Amino acid sequence: MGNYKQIIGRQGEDEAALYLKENGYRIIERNFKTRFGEIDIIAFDKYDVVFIEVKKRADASYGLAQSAVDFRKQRKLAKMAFYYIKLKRFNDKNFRFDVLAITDNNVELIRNAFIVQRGFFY
Amino acid sequence: MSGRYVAGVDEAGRGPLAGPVVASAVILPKNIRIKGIADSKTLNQNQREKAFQAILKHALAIGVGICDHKKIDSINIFNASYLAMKLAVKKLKIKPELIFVDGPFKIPGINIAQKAIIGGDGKSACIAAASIIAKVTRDRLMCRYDKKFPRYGFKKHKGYPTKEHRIAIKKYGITKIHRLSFTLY
Repeated sequence: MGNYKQIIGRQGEDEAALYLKENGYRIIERNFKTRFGEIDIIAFDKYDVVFIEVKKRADASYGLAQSAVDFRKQRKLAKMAFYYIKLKRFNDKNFRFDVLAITDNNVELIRNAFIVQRGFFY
Repeated sequence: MSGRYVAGVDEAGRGPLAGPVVASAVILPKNIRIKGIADSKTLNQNQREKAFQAILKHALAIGVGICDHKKIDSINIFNASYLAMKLAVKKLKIKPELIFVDGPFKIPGINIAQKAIIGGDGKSACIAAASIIAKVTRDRLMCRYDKKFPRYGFKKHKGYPTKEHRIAIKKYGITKIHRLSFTLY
């Protein structure tokens, strides 16, 4: 029996996957596990590789969901993303990071939510 | 005190973007000073090769442990280095009573008394000898890989993130022996 947080989180990711599909994303990975953590969703948007962090909040009283992707989280996502890009040899593709924020019943897709200064080749 | 076998342990290949990490354990004879042994980082390639031969000739026991790039990706370079060191010690044909390890940490999972010496490769002859064995062994492995992946310059930089290496990766992508989990900040 997962705890309340996990259940809400998982529901959020299902909602997110649906929303992304409706917006033309082709999902290639869900909960991609690396040594450093998990990437919620990896998808193709046309020919670009998109790493999506899903943030769901039951209500807005703890701030907007997107502000939970702070610098530390961004660094971690970047590290995982670079691992994935190297693993799949997606070197020639463009990539970006999106955040899908689900607050209450409001779904917001933030394309290119943040940029990382490092290239993916080390 | 006399008759105690002491092994020095060091590793090579923590920093590179590609290839394995190699560790070595060396037991030197007491009371014999082998000329040319110093911290491998202070020796040029010629001096290192000479020292390597001298150590092979005079050492009482040598053990080498290796963790490849996949293992490094799986358990991280820190753990892989210490695993390689542990393997090197296990490979010694003579069991030492005491181990000198280079660096601040002791090797986990070993039942032998250890002393961790920061800067040990400059302070202890047996650690210096281990650093030479590890470095030369790893260099030779990387030279072999150079034949398999000739455009990357492995023969020169041994996988370290030199400008030439990074440019090659940008041009040709990564090889099978690159560590996927490495990110330079």
